Amino acid sequence: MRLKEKIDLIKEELNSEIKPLDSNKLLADAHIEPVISSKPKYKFFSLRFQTVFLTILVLAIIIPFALSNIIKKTSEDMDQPDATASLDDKVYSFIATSAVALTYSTIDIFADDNSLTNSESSFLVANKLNDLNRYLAPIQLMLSMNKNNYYPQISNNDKYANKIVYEGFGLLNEELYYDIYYNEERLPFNKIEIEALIIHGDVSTKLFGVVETINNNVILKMTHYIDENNESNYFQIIKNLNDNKDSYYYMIVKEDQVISNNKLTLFENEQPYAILENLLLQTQKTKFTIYSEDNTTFNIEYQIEAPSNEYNSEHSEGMVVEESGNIKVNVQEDTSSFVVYSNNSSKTFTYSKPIK
Amino acid sequence: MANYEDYIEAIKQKDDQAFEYIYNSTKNSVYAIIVAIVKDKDIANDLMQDTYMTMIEKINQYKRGRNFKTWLLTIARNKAIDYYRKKQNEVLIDISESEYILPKTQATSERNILVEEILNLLTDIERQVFLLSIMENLTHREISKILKIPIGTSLWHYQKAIKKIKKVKGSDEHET
Repeated sequence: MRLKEKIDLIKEELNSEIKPLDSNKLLADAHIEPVISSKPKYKFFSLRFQTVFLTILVLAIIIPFALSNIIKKTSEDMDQPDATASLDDKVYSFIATSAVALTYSTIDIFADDNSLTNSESSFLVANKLNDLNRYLAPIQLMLSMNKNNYYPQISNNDKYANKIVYEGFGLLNEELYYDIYYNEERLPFNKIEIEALIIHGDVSTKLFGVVETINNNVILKMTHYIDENNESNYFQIIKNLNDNKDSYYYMIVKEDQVISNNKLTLFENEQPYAILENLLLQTQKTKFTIYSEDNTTFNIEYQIEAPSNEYNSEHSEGMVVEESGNIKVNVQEDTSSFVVYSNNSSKTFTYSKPIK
Repeated sequence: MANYEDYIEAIKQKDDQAFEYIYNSTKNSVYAIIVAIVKDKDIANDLMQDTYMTMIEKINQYKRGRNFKTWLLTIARNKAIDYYRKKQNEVLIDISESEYILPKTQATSERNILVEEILNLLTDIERQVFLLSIMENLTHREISKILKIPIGTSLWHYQKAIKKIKKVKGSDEHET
């Protein structure tokens, strides 16, 4: 049988399997949802946050840009990207909170604590779970963005001009409350430097940020130095503000070596999900597609790809799937369990809870 | 790309003919994406009904000018994935007891057996790409949007699927 005949056969068979639909009943039973605003229910606070925070940022970017246009109106200036074009209030909220989450989940790395290592297994994914574990809190924050609450307040700290309060729920459904203080300094060439202090309980965390134009893209980088006197150990969250996607890049650097480099992207479908892609290895791509059942449970599909050994002109990306499967993650009081299912077998891995 | 905009407006008024038009021009690809994931024709038919129900109920969320079929197929795929995930959770105990999960066998005729044999050769993602491509000639750009994968990856999975299918012997070849 030729290929075309096989394809025709598949089409015929599948089409014959479709049962008729009672459209009258379907239409009668359906309750068409009214047109609703896409804004989350905390509209009051969102608007306040948006108004205040975006105004500051927009003015900070637009004014120097406008002034430079007045001073020297050249065609080159007219080609400058509009840094405000894709600014989104979500970006700033998410970066601040996920940075705080990372300060906890990277403690083991910078404390040389190997207690999380628990990867003896034939599953290739076993070596990736440590990394996945430390991103669970930012992932959860990302997936529950619309449920959490951010709003500006008048700063009560003499050293900082601005303040945002964040309220939400953590990986154990515990209530979270952060005070985020920050200053901004406008510099030439549309550059903005940001200094932030985040207070969570009795712990305070400092972040240093910069907004700058790189290759016509407006890039925001927020960095947390583990020791302010040592710039070799830090993690950094990077966002391309011209990218309309909810994508963030995370880089963890220890002794000037990048030891973790991931991209986290939110997809807001009927059921939102996030994709975490490991960018550290050129020779192996790991992708986790993460769904949140509730704050404490995640269902994850994963795929690990490696370069194909054989040259194949039809092989567009030159990668083959080495392993794929599912992971069910349950976050408990002190540990998280990762149950991996692949190739008709399963194994449970246990890691320390990635939060304080 | 078919223009569904007028029919969509009519569906908001629960117009039966408009719904019939949209259903008839999309049902093959909706069924294809669902059955590619759940691998069970009865469940696929149930989920198909759910998909069209959701489409009607959420029709006001569809933004005019966007690709309607991509929107609808994304709903269908999400329905199938939700079902698949729930089903997987139900059989997790079986997996830990080293039992295999195989698609439910429903083949009744020789032709049906051959189709099932072919589709079972493909990985989940290959099956989704392949069926979306053949059932209504969706482009790899459209498929990549629905499956949230790069266009090159869609093309690659399609080519892999075609290679596998080429190797399958037809029913007449089985008899010899």
